[in-house]
Parts: sequence; C-alpha cells; structure tokens
Amino acid sequence: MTMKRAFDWSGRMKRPGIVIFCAAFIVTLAMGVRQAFGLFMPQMSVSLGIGRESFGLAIAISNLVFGLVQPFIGALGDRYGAGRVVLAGTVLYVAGLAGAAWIGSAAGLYLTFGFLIGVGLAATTFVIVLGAVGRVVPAERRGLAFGIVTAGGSLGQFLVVPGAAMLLGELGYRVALIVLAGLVALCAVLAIGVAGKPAAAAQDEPRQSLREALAQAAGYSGYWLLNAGFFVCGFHIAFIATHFPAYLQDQGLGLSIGATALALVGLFNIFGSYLFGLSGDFWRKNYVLSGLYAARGVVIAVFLLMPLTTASALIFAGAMGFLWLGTVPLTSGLVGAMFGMRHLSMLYGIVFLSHQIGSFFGSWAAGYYFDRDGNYSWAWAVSIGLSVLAALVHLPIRDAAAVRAQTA
Amino acid sequence: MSRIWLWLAPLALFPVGALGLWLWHDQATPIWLTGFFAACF
Repeated sequence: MTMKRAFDWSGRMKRPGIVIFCAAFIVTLAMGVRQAFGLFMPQMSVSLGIGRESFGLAIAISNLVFGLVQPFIGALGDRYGAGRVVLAGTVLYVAGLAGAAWIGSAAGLYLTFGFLIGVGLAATTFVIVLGAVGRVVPAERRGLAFGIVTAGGSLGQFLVVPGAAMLLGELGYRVALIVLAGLVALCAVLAIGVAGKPAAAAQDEPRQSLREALAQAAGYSGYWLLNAGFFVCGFHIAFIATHFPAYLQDQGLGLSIGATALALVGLFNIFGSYLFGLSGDFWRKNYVLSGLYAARGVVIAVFLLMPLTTASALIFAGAMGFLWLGTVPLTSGLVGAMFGMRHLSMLYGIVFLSHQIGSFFGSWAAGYYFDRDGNYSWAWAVSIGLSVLAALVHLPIRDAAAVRAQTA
Repeated sequence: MSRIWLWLAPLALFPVGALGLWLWHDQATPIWLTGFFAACF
C-alpha cells in the first residue's frame, strides 16, 4: 500500500480486516476513557471548589449531547465517511479532556466534559464506526464484524477504568486527564483505517436521499419497534449500573462484593457482545434480540426470588454482563438489514437516541421511586415488565430489506 | 455448528480477562466509592 493510498480520506475503503480492527480499537479507546469520567469527581470537585451536583450536571450534559447530536453526526458519517468524522471527533474529544485539565470553574466543566466530549463521543463511537464496518463487510458476516467491534468497546470499559483509577491515584487528575487525552488522540491515526467514500461502498444499493431514507424509516413499523426495544435496553443498563451497587449495600452486602460485581459485568460483557453479534449471522436478529430481552427478565426475576447471597449477586452480575451490550450489534445489524448501509449511521443514530432517553429514565426514575418508597421494588418490577415488552415487540420485526419505494 | 472456532474465539481473550480482573481487584472498591457507575452510563 502506498503512502498516498494509506492516507487517502476520500477514496475507496480499506480491506474489511483493517476497517474492523481500527473500528474496534477506536471504540475501545473512546468508550473506555468515557467510562472513567466518574472517577474524577472527588478530586475535581474539591480542586475546582464545585459541588458534586455540578460535576454530575457536566456528565449529564455530555450524555444528553451524545444522544441528541448522534443522528446528525451519523448523517455526516454517511455522507463524508467515518474517517473524517472520527478525526474531527477526536480533536473535540482531546480538546475536551485537555481543557478539563486546565479549567477552573463549573462553567468550564460544562463546556469541556459536557459539550466538547459529548460531541466527540458521538463522532468516535459505535454509530459512526459500525457504519464504516457495515459498508465493507458482506451482509452474511455483518453480525460477526459488528460483534467484534462492540466487544472492543466492552474491552475498553473493562480495562481503561481500573487503569485510569491507578493513574488518578498516582499522578492526580490533571496529569491523568492529559494521559487519557493522549490515548484518545490515537483515534486520529486509527481514523485512517475507517476512512473511505461511503457512496462508493454502497453502490449496489438504490440511491436514496437523506430525506427519503428518513421518510421510509418513519413509515416502517419495524423501525419504531426497534426504537422501543432499544429504549428498554437503555433503561435496564442505566438502572442496574446506577443503582445495583447501592441495592447490594442496602441489603447488607459488603463493598468488595459490589466492586467484584462491577468487574464481572465488564468481563462478561466482552463475551456477550461478541457472541450475540455472531448469533445474528446464524439466526434472525430480531428473534435473538427477543430472546436476549426475555433472558434479562428471567435473570432479574430469578435473582429477586432467590435469597440474596454473595454468590447470587455475583452470578446475577455475570449474567447481566453477558446480556449487556449484545443488543448493539443486533440492533445496528437490523437497521442495516432493513434500510441498507447508505444511511445506516443516521438511522441507527436515531435508535441510539431512543436508548439514551431510556437511560435517562432508568437512572432517574429508579432514584425517584426509591426516594418515594424507600426501596427499588418499582424499578425491578418495571424492568421485568419492560423485558417482556421488548421480547414481544421484536418478534414481528422483519430481518429483511424494507421495500425501497423511493429510489432514483 | 460448522464453524465452531468462531464461537470459541473469545476464549483467546482469557489472558486479557485475567489482566482486567487483576486491575479491578486492585481498584474496584475505590472506583465504586467514587460513584463511577452513577456518573457514567
């Protein structure tokens, strides 16, 4: 490969293996660093003289921006290619991390951790890179490819968080942020691997404008059902991730049990992400998703019915970890199967927004009802009910191309 | 399943899993105490 071709941002896309490797590495870094933000709360709150509410608001802004801009960033990825979008997102992400090391007020934190990193995340994570991968991998191998990339993101969450905790303890938050910025900067190099002209890669698909693609998706019931299902995914993950450690503590289990539970969620998430993605190549994705959501409901119900012990808490964490992000390759794969690769990032970006709205309710409503009732009974019951609902809504979805009525 | 190796491929990640668990063993409690989960998902 000549230097010119290697750094070609607009020409044809690279070989599938290169695209998959670079995509997985990009989300490993971007998602991994993202998960470490909470670690900075105590040190930064004290250093900046701001409350934890302000820090929490900065992260909340980041999550909100991440979800809201995702469809638009996705559309840019579909039009200009993932390489350019990842490069621009990396610049914003690095600026946000480096800026957070220098700011001295809550407003600065909102701008850096909140806005810059929120946009940076939308440009460097699953929605963008899966679009690039989907364009170079044949449909019958897309589940495997998406599973590998999603497992990369899961691996990042598992490895970067404890590494960042060590950095923070040894070097303080300013240097730790700069080191993390350096890690994220590697995405600029990896962006070359996912670069290429999307239109050229989707030549075998009917030409369709963005407006036509949106209109087609809006009129397709399967797309709405997929949005509903991913809302449930966001609800489950945010509820369990935010409140499960506190639940265990309320029930009298020690700190080390909750901590080990977190590690098991992260570990089994890697395997689940890959294997559920791979499953999509062998069975209808909507049925696999239906089974995944049903399994979540069964796991939660069994966990609540069994006496709470150290073993039951750890088994629950491992099982939920296995079912954690397996929804990502399957859901994105279904969007691709329905509407093709040309507008995948934009259409999947909208589904991802639905996930983030579910996350908001999973995190906030569970806390609200805990404050009202003094327990998590409402949240557990709703989680099981939503599992059943999600299992049902995926059944009628067709794992096949929607009829493209509006083609040029 | 004709391509059994595809399903067994994650086994290759066990060394990485062991490394990760070792890192978490050392850092998990402080991570939890700092509100990691509440802030990041």
